Amino acid sequence: MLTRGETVLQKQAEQALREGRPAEALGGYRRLLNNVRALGGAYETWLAGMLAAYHKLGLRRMGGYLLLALRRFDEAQSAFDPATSPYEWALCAENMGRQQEAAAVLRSAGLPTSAAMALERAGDGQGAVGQWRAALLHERLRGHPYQTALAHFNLARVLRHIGESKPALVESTTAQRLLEACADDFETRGERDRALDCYGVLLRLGKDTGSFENLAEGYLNSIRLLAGSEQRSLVLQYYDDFLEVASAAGEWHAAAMLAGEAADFSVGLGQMYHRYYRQRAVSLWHEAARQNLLAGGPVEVSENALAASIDVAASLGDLHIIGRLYSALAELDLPSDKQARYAELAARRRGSRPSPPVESPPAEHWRRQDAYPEVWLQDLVEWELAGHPAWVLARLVVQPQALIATNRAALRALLVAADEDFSLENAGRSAELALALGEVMVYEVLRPIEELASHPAALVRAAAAAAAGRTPHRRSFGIVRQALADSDATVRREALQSLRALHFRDAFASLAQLFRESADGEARQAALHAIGQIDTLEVGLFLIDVARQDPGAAGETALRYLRGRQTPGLASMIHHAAMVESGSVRKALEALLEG
Amino acid sequence: MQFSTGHGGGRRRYNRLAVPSPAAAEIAERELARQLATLSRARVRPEEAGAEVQAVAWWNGLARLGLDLPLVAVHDFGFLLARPAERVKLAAEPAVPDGPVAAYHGLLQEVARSESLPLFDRAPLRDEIVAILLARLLADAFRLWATQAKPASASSILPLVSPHYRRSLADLAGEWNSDWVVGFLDRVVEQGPNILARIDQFDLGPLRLLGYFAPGAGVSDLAGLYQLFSAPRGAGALDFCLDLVPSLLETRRRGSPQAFAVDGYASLEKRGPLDALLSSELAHDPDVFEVKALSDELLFYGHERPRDERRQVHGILIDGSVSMRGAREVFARGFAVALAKKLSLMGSMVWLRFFDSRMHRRVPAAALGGSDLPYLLGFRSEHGRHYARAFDDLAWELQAEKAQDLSLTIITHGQCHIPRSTVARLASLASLWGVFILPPPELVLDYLPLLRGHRLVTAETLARPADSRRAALALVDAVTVESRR
Repeated sequence: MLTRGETVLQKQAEQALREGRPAEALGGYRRLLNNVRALGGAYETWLAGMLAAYHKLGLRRMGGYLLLALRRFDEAQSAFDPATSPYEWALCAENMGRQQEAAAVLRSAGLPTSAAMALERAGDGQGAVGQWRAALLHERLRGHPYQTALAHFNLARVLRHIGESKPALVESTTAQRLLEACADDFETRGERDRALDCYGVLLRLGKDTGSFENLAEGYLNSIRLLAGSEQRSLVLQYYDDFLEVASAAGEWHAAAMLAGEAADFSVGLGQMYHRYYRQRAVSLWHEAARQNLLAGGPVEVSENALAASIDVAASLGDLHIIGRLYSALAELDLPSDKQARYAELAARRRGSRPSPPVESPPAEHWRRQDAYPEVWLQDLVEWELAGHPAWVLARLVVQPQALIATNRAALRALLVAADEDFSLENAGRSAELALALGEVMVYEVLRPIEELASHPAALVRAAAAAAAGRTPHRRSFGIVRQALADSDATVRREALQSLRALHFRDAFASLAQLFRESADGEARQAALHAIGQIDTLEVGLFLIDVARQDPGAAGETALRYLRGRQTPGLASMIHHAAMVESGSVRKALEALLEG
Repeated sequence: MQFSTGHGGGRRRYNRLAVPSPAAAEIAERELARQLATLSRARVRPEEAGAEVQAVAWWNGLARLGLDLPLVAVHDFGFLLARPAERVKLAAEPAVPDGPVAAYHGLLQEVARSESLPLFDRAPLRDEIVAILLARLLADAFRLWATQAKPASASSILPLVSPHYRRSLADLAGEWNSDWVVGFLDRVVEQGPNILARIDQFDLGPLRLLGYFAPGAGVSDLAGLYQLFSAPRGAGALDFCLDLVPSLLETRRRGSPQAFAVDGYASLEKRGPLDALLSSELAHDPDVFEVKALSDELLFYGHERPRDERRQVHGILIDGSVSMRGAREVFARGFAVALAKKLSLMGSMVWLRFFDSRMHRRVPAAALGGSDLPYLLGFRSEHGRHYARAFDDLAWELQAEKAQDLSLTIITHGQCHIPRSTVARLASLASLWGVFILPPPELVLDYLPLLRGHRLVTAETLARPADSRRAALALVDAVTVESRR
């Protein structure tokens, strides 16, 4: 349903177009297209009107971008010169099923990995192998070990796909070495997310090659890096998935140990799944013992495994199963004194109450669809496009997004970036682009925003800081931190606003870190404000600590956000914190409980 | 959970275990008084002097393991574990009528009457062991209490000398409300059957192993020893090692050469060419001669004063990365410790170290049995693997040390892709051996030809009981014999 203003504006634009005033019509349509949520075909009507205006103005290339959005790729392609707009031309070719042509243009444009991906999508395995090999020799990859690792990984993947197992193994080994080194370097530099990406690729390498060692390296290091973050559901998902992998591979020891660790992780977070994981650990240790005996393995291995099973069962209070496990121990071919002892212990447990019911696993809705991002392609695309705003946005316009509004916001920003008058030297237009990128709100626009965040003009840097605040991803905090340290007050002000707005669930760890490390009172307050918007027990505990230990403004803010918070388990934590405090802090905490 | 900055330098630390404003000593004193006040609820009443101090010593051990329990529980359970007389006393007491303490008292009496506890009475239990046993018994209750209702403790270590020890319990209880322990004691009572089951489980195996390496050595790595008792990986590796060690003890000690001044010759040695053999040695019976020859006990003339014979050095490098998770790490660690023992008995200087993205600290084999054995068996990597860097660092290190007569055994898995150039550098500095555990069907490592030798430990090897042991011993023999050449 159009607003009255939109209806008027549309009529004015149509009239201007009819009356041969296309520039005026264009202005009207630009304003209309700000409404990315328009329904009922109105948006497409405005696109058509704008297209007509561009044609009348002879702006074929700009019209081409609209045709991309309208998915009229054959017409769009004719608007792009492959020499000057190679990426756009190739996008059109690909979407018309002409990947070979797309690959050729991308190759000539110095985009070798994009060319390889196009050939893969064309189903041309041999061609893709040749192109990946060529990409590895390209000067662009020199000095970029992470991207080089990804290229080797992709080459190995395609080689395996076409049945070239030996060369695939060579490339996999090279990829593995590079990924290990990159992960270590990233982690040393504090770039945790990048290190996670490396382990994600290593994990996939393990799956593709059937290498349990690489699977373990990928899963367990990812869990290690994620465990300290707010991404608890992801950690549980990784635990679950690796448990299945280890069990399927017959790595019973590893699976049983992992189930125990998953249980400990769950307890540490107050989760209810710890009993489920302990029950799994009991059965996995039992299975380890059983499989060892079936394979004719040393009886001591089975004895140890059953003892480990009993240990976990004791945590569960399952005396019935403990009795059965001692009976199993007594049946092993062990020295007679040990057998007698185990039989005696089994007898003691006879008559114990039955085992508690089997616990339910974590619900499916905990699982995230994006748990295993295919960074081996995504990250190469990002690197190769190098934050080129028109290319990044054109790709977003063409790819179906979860929300139509995202495609439309990307188009809006694209029309700014691709405009004939646009220049990065023009601070006003660059700031306009930054703000438009902020409206797209997906991960891919962060790279172009990062580029704009280092612009010489404060106006642009301020706009980039504002844009970061609208993009809910941990990577946005990098831009915000940079802006908080800016010499210009306007930029810092925008950064503070953005900080207050970044209160998505995964943001807590980044916010808490910023709060701890910043010497700027305003930044700490802004971070605390954002933290206060997140409703988890961990946040509650954090706020209690701040209230206890900071007598100033931060303590007051923390108390304010604790007031009325209904997070399960929080009230008892407040109560007990009050018990070990004294004076005004104790009074303040007690007052929270009276509310 | 800790929210420390790790930056120091004036930044605030938000740590749930420490309140920063009063001085640390004052905090500790206050916490001691608060904890001592809980002893007004104790059901075990030892008559020995300094019982409270003893309980606090155990409490400190538990706190180092991250378990800051109410002192009353540490006190009661600790004395039942460590003092047979207290067990007898409590077991003989009548039951307490129903009331707030009845269930707790009843549980303690069941513990006192446990048939498994007398197993520990053969020798006095050191404080570290008591702390570990208490941790094993009460960790489950602590875990439940910590997530639901636990108040933060103010200090992590309590003083063992304080005027508070001279105060009466009534005085302390009047100053500090100990209602806060009720929640924990309720959790303990809930966990009663588990506690009794755990007592049945206590395994003295680790103490046996410690005895092989350094009788009487103290154990300072409490956390490591706790891991040894609790973690399946430690127990597995331990058992594997225990299985091997008796055979390794058959290794004869290799004596060091002795020098004596003799006419016309500079010395008598225990090594030398046959033509320098002391003629009187030929007078022995053939059997005796053979034994003396094998034992390096024959005497030879030395024509010049020999240099002190350099002892061979053997480094054992164990892959500590998470890639080894499971059966691989159990075998690797047990085998590494057993190999270290054998080489030491043969007179080599042996050190062990883990690697992942770094080379970790060297552990001299002579130190095994003290604090380092738990470390070796329970080591847990906190890094990803980066073999190129770890081994490159090692090569530089060895080059700087100008190591001589050095052998290295690398115990790892089949995806340990160290750059060939790095292995070549190492091979120029030391004799290299490889042991690859559960490798893929086809082991493809481009540096294999640079090793003096390598062995594969496959699932089949591990599966056959006698062969598993024989394989391990054969590996040990192969490495040690070759390293003597």
